[in-house]
Amino acid sequence: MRYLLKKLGLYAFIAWAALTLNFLIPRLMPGDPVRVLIAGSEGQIDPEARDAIAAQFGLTDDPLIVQYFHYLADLARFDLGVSLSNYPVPVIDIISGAMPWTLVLVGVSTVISFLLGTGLGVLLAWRRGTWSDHVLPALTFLNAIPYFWMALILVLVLAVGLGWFPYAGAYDRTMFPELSAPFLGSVAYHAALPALTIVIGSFAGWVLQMRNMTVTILGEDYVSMAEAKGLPGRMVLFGYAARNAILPSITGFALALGAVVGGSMLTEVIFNYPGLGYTLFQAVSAQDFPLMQGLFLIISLAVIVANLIADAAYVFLDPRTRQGA
Amino acid sequence: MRDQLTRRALMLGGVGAAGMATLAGCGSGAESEEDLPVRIHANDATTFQPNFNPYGGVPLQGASGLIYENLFLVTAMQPGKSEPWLGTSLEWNEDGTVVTIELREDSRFTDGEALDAEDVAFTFRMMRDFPATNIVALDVKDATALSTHRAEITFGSTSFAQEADICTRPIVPEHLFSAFEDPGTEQIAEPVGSGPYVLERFSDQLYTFVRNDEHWAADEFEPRRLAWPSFTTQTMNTALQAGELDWSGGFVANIEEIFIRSDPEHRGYWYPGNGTVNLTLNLERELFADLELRRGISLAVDRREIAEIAYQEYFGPPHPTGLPRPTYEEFIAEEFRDLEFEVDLEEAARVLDEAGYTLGSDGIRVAPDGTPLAFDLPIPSSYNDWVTTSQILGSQLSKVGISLTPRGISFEQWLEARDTGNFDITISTAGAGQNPWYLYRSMLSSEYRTEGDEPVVANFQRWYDEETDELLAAFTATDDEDAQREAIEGLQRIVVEKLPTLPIITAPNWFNYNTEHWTGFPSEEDPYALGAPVGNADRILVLRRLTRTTS
Repeated sequence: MRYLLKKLGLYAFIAWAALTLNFLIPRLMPGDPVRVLIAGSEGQIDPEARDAIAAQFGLTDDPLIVQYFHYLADLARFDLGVSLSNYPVPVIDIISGAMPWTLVLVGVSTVISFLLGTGLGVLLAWRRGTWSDHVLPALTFLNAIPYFWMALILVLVLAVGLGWFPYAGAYDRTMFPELSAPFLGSVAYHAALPALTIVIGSFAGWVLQMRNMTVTILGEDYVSMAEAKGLPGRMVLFGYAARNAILPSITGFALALGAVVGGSMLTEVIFNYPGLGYTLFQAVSAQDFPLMQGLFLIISLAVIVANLIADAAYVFLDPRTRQGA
Repeated sequence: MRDQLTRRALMLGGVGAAGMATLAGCGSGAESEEDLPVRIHANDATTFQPNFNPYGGVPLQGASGLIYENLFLVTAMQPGKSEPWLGTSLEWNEDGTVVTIELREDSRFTDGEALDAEDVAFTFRMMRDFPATNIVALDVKDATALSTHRAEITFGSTSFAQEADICTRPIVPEHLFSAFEDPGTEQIAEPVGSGPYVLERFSDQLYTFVRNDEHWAADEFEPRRLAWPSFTTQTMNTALQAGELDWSGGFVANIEEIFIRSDPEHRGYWYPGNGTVNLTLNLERELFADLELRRGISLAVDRREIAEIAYQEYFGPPHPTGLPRPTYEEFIAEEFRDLEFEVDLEEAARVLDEAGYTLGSDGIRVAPDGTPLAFDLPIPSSYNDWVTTSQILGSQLSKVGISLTPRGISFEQWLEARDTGNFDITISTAGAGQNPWYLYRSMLSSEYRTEGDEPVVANFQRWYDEETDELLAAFTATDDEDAQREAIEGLQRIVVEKLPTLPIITAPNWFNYNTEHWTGFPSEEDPYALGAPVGNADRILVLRRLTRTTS
């Protein structure tokens, strides 16, 4: 218990540091969102409007420390401010609108990737030294190709060239969201290709980690002992080797789930997928500080919580961490 | 408002619409033939946020004009003319400080309340009380309802020149807006306006308008539904190619190939000038204060080559007065009507030689004070067309011994340089506004002058000239058309003779149309409005002309 409390304290400190950095970093960036907006209009917004727009955005010249306390007070009320690029829509609305798309797309594909990768890893470890070893270089290659390159090639071939998949959006642009079969079908259809690229881009890592870990464990004395006792191969593999080998992967998986909230920015930008990653990309290009801050906040909190869960899970999974706790 | 960054991004192109088409058949979007919507793309967006407040930040396209109506319809294509809309007449007092507006009597908001002079007066008082809503900077002193259908607006200064701004302010319902603490920060997801269209449905990828059949002019609008799907530059090109849009704004590279070719009978584009892109010499640098140097540079620039190479001849080179054509053609003074920019390298060399810019041994001229004529040309590296333009400029100017090195920098860095005057030469844009006065004011007026390093918001070449300011003031001081025309002609003379800024490209109004389902869009032959679906009044003018394609 003391171990967990200590961890909690540590994470509370990390969360505070993240909040403060989150406040500081956008303010230290160069640039002025109002001028970006006016210049971006190519002369269609009257330059006279500068002060009016600054007033609308609530940009102030207060000292940083005053702004900081306002920021903390607003956070306590779950008020993340108002987006500048979509003024005056509250940041929290934009985030909650984008969140489901990211959670479903990146979440589901991360789970698929983990299950597929870990399963395959165990299998490859069991059959080590046979033909299956030839799969390894291919996996290393998959793990090493830059994600954006692979995704762009797939878009070019499967979506643009062959026309099998849509190339943008989360659902068909002639539909309104509703709980109907055509709409859900459209969502699945639009998510298929981005999900495929995420799985292809990440499952090889899981395979390699799991295989190597399992191979190591298979060399342990207790595994030889189990084999010597004449236990069935399946039981040795899953009950003795894989069960121990999966520990690091579980931690990795918890962290990956935390990162899901940040979305896969590359995926979402390539596929114009309206999730958090794309929202962040747009916030940065439009210098939309409040939206950026809100997104970073949610993302860092998600990662911190995932870390905490991983730590807690470890306590239950691995008795060794409990010693001295 | 178009986002230039994304508009200029590379596009994917190609087909890929097959999947969309098959799904559209089984979706709820399958419309009956009579109810076919006009599909409009006005600005780049992956997703929409529900805000239709015409005075609140970044409202969705269509809120102004179609839901919240204008007093009069004015378009830059017919400057100085206005067509009655909510208002039936508009009278100025002698010195241009009080305007009286008569309203039609049958306007209603869609919640049943009548639209009367109180609403008009409220809208203008709101601009006075909440500067954030006053994005056209009208100097409103007071606004009152004289009777149910007659409103009077008083200005703090002579405001003839801004009549077009007064005409195009969207009128909002007092009974709803007066409840807002600050109308400029209010998000309105369910707009209640008086216009010929009302919001039907909203989702983050599509919103639709349906005709307001109670509207006094409902008979004049044939399209019953308008659909506004979300596209970014990349996806818009594919959608255009697949024929998924009837009416769109935005730049399309290689448009003949991407858009026109698959259906030349129905598809077209029209890019009338809507502003001017200028080669901007920093006049606060002593060097460029010399008119002869500016003249030499101007003579060496081949605008036609820029239009051909960087803009694929979508439009011609600009007029030496800077007035965009055909939009402001009629304002071009008699004496300049036939003037065109001529490239004359010999003359350029002669002008420069005579002014004492001698050719150095390295082929680069040196100013009388010893400064070599070698400059960086900072431009935002994300503007592909400007990058091409600046490379062409570099090679053109090298022929007369001036070295111009294009330097692509980030958009923010370029803004910083342009606004604080930390450049020798750059490129900048001036929008056309509602009449030539707006254009010249933003290009040449001293009112934008700032102290020291304070950023300026317009007049980036920093032309501070008394005669120019007098002419600009003369235009605003009168509503006599001849006197205004005289002021504009004086300004043209300054641009042509004193070269405060060098127009190099026409800034166009991007407009692409597909008449497969709807006919009646403006065109070069029938330029009744600007085509891009972003203007309050232009949208009304265009929608009123649209009819189902019969053949």
